[in-house]
Amino acid sequence: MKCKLCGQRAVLRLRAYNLSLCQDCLRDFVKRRVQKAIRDFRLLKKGEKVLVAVSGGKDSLSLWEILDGLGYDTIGLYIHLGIEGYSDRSLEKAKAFAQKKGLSLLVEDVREHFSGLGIPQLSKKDMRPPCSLCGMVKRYLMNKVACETDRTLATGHNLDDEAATLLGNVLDWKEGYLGRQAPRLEARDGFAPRVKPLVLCTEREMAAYAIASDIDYILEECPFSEGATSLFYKDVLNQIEERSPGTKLRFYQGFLKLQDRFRIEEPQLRPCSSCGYQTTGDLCNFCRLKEKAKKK
Amino acid sequence: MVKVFWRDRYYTFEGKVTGLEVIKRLGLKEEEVLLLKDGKLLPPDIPLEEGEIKVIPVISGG
Repeated sequence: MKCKLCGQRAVLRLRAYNLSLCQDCLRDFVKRRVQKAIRDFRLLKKGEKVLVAVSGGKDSLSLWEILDGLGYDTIGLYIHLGIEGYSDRSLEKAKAFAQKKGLSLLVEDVREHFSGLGIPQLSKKDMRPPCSLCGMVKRYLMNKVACETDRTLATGHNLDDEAATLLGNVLDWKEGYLGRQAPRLEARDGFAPRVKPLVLCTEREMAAYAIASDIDYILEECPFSEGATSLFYKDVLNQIEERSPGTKLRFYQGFLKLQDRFRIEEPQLRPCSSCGYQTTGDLCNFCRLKEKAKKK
Repeated sequence: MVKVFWRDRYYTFEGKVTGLEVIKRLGLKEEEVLLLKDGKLLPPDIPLEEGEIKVIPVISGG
């Protein structure tokens, strides 16, 4: 099997595009897909200041490398979730990457905000699944740092992530979520702009990119992700993809064309009485959790 | 003999076998894994040479 672009030995077959690529052409291909997303969805302006949320995984570290290579002014943000062993090992990967590339990495430690408690302990205390709590805490901290540093927040959500989220939202007809599931969310009062430049790249393409680019990422999965619904949806979509290559991309891109139909009025927001960030109630979920963490 | 490492276990394959065949025989889908040898991506269609192959998952959740 030869690379369709240069004739060298191919290392990856992309059935969705009827394309086989060698290592170098694969890297170019992924970069071009990111540039296409940036251009088509007007994600970033030339030289824009970006805060890249990094987890130590293949998607976020590759995204950071690509955006840096494209000339964006980037800094990274790692959020330490206080998950024993796993969080320290992920942080090491993010730190090593930043050091190797000469990039700046900011670190926020969840435990510093919640009286020394990490996500596993907070989950028990709040009697909520760790993943929903983790999502809320990460969204808050990422937005806070993006606002403080006056940067656009970029996350490593890839096509598989977006297609799986879309499938879940469609199955439950969550119109509000469908209306907000976009590659770019504009800045509004108290919210930094958010972009997802990897939405046109599959998870497999990103893993191959990381390996071809010699990016040392954490292979280990978060211990709480076992049995996650998102993994089940990804598996279902990959079964369909196996039979009909390109389905994930068509599903997601088709949705973006129809998305205006799902736009609903945003709820009325007001400043949180404790931290000042926008929320629907008196106290935002982050500050409410903070109060709970203080109680013995 | 090709030795394949997947999820904390070794599997051995005798005779000529390609990366794609290994993926199928392990009951996996092409879209959810990559094959590596010495940290490098392996062409999926050519018979694997003797040695150790690592199958890595590419799907992450949560």
